[in-house]
Amino acid sequence: MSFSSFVFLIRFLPVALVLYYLFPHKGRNALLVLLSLFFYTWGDPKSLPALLLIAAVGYGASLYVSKDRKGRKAVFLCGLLLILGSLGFYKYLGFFVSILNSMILEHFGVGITVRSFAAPLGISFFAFTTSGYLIDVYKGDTEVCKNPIDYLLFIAFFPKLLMGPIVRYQDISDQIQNRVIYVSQLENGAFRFVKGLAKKVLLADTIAVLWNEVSTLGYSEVSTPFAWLGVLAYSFQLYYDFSGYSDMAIGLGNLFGFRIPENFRFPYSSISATEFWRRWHITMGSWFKQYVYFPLGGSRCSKKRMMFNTFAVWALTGLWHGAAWNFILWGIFYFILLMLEKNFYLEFLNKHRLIGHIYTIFITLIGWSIFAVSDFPSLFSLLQKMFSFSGGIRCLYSLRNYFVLLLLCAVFCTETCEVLVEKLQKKTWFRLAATVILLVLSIAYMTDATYQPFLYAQF
Amino acid sequence: MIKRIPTFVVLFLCLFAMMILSIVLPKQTYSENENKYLASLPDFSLRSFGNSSFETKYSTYLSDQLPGRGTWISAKSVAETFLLKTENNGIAYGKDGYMFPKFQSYDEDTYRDNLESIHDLTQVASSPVRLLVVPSAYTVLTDYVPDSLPCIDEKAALADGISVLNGVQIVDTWSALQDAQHDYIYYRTDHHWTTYGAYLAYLEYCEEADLEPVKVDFSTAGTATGFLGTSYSKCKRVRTIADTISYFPFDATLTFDGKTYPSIYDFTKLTTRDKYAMFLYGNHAESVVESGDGNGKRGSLLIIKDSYADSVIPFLSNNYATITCIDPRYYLGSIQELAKGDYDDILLLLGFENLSSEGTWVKLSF
Repeated sequence: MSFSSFVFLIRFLPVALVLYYLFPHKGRNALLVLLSLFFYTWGDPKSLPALLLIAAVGYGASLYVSKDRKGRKAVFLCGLLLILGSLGFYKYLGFFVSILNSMILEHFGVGITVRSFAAPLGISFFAFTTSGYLIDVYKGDTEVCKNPIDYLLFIAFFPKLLMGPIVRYQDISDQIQNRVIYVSQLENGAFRFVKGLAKKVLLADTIAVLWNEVSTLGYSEVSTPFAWLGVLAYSFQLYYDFSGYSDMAIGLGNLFGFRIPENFRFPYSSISATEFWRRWHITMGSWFKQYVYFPLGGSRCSKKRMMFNTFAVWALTGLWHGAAWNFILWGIFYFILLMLEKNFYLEFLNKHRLIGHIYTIFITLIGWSIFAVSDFPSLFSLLQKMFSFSGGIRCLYSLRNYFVLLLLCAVFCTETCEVLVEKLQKKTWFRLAATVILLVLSIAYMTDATYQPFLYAQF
Repeated sequence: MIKRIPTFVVLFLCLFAMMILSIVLPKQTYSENENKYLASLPDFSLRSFGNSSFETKYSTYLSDQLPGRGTWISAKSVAETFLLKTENNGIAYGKDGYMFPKFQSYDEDTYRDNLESIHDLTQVASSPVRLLVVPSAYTVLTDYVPDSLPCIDEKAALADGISVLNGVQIVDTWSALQDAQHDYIYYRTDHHWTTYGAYLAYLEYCEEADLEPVKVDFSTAGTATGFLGTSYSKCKRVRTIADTISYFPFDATLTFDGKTYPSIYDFTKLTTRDKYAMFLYGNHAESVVESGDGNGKRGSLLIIKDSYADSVIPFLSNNYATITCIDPRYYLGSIQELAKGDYDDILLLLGFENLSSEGTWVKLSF
């Protein structure tokens, strides 16, 4: 279930909190596991076995490889293959088969059809969590978790199960085994959760309408400024959707006594693509760095090899976001930019911050347009529109309609604003007022989203 | 004092209170405003849980029965005003209290299929067929529409579309309506045209069909005030100017579902939200308006229509003794067979949005 749903807000969460704090300390982990599995099952009942199976493989393999046993490496590789293989099977099989068909088999007049399976909810996240953990145990970077309940809580803890942040076991193991809950943590958690909810419901979902409008009208029909405005709206939508979700996850974690790592640090304030990727979806970036880039040799190798390593990381990063060519293209787009920056102008950008900001906003918008549109003809017509300076449906009305919202979106993603909010939220009156007001507004917008008066019968 | 109130307790109490209220408060069954039956608590079974249908229904149940649902929705409309939005839920706010549903896309295939079906119908019809397409308010009320509202160009799309039709006489109402755009020809809060707008279209039709139009004086028309239409229902704008419905008490009877009514107006609808349904008692598969023979009247008209026609038909009852009204969305018989019948004229009257987006008009091929 989504955090921004009534099932979660006025059923699951209050019940979970009551149960949790009434429960004796000893049983709380088990309770959280049960709650998490229920949470998962509600959203995707058919995939619970897949989640449990992947978790079980990780559990068994990590236990085995934690000691110096015979066939340790083989078990490790098998485990890893099973976990990442199931991710590949569910998410990418159809995509790869279609590539195979169109590139090779079609020329011989044959084709393979596969039954496509709906990917289990959140598989990209929990498969990464599990495989990362297995690698850490294998390499001795972390202790193995012997207690199956504690282990399952680490994998499936509901605040971060579906959309991250991707947590490493060593970051959270202390809290799983023994956590002290401070009032200040609960205070932060409550505010953080509502802040995330508001980001998602009040900003992401409302600005999304503008981008949808551009898509509906057609990329070739709108004017060039309208196309840019649409992509800007989409960029805000992505940021507030995802960082709002991370805020909610971190806030919920706090409410249950956990500290989940940060995932976003005002990425749109960056002055280079390099910096952007240190601030956007941080836990995913470090997963790729930790488990792909470094094992391949990282930067401590020849320049050619380093280029290849970086390329591999970014092609995979792209692919991780979805099984389609545009995501791979988007990954490669960032690979090229990062290479260019590293070799040519990163220094310059660091010195000329204003240029850096403008440059980063510009490339981010282009990046998100590639990310947004999955079919190539449409993507091409969007990019063509963005760079052809041509007319079409004018954006004046939409600009006038959305300018306050756009302004709010622009202000709230800056570092200055975040720092200010952090400072203010230390004051009780602010925290209290902001929480109540944002909650009320969010519920109003959530209710309205379900409001579809059935009026067509009147035509 | 305020320093001692913990935020997490307040948050918890808010959510907990909402939960309790949503459990104990009595459930509503019907929402007049939304024109739908509200969801009730779904039955649980492992099967329905396993295929997610229980979860979906339960979510709908929760949001449908949310305590203070109407208030929350209005609150959102107010919040949008504070954001200086010029629209809400797809309804753009124009000048002078006008509300315009944004019409941004239609399915080309559906549109073409509908037009071809109209063409098919003309081929088999035994009487002359005329087509009157009602433009959406935003294309006509150009002085009231917000500047450069991004909507499709209906006029061009229609001109494109009807170029493939032959054998159909087009009743063009566009310029007549546009010339009168300051004369309250569309409702402010509803997508329909007003009785005056309908009358202007009626005049155009009479000219095309060579009929003597009835002369009416709008200052003596009956009126019903306080009409808040479909656009209002969607956007719930805070300061809304309610509409007034005009009607003329022509002498005609209405028959549908095997029952005959002495008037073509259903005045009981004026106490409900959907006041426009007073015309011809709302939507029916088939209804017949009879007004007796008279001076220079033609015998019969077959009108295949949507609800825009409901406010035109009263005027037409002065020119035809019998008007058979068919709403293809509900009519289950063969419309082609009907069109082969013995009518003096056949009229297709529908809104452009309907013609371009609703699949039901392909029934004209059958």
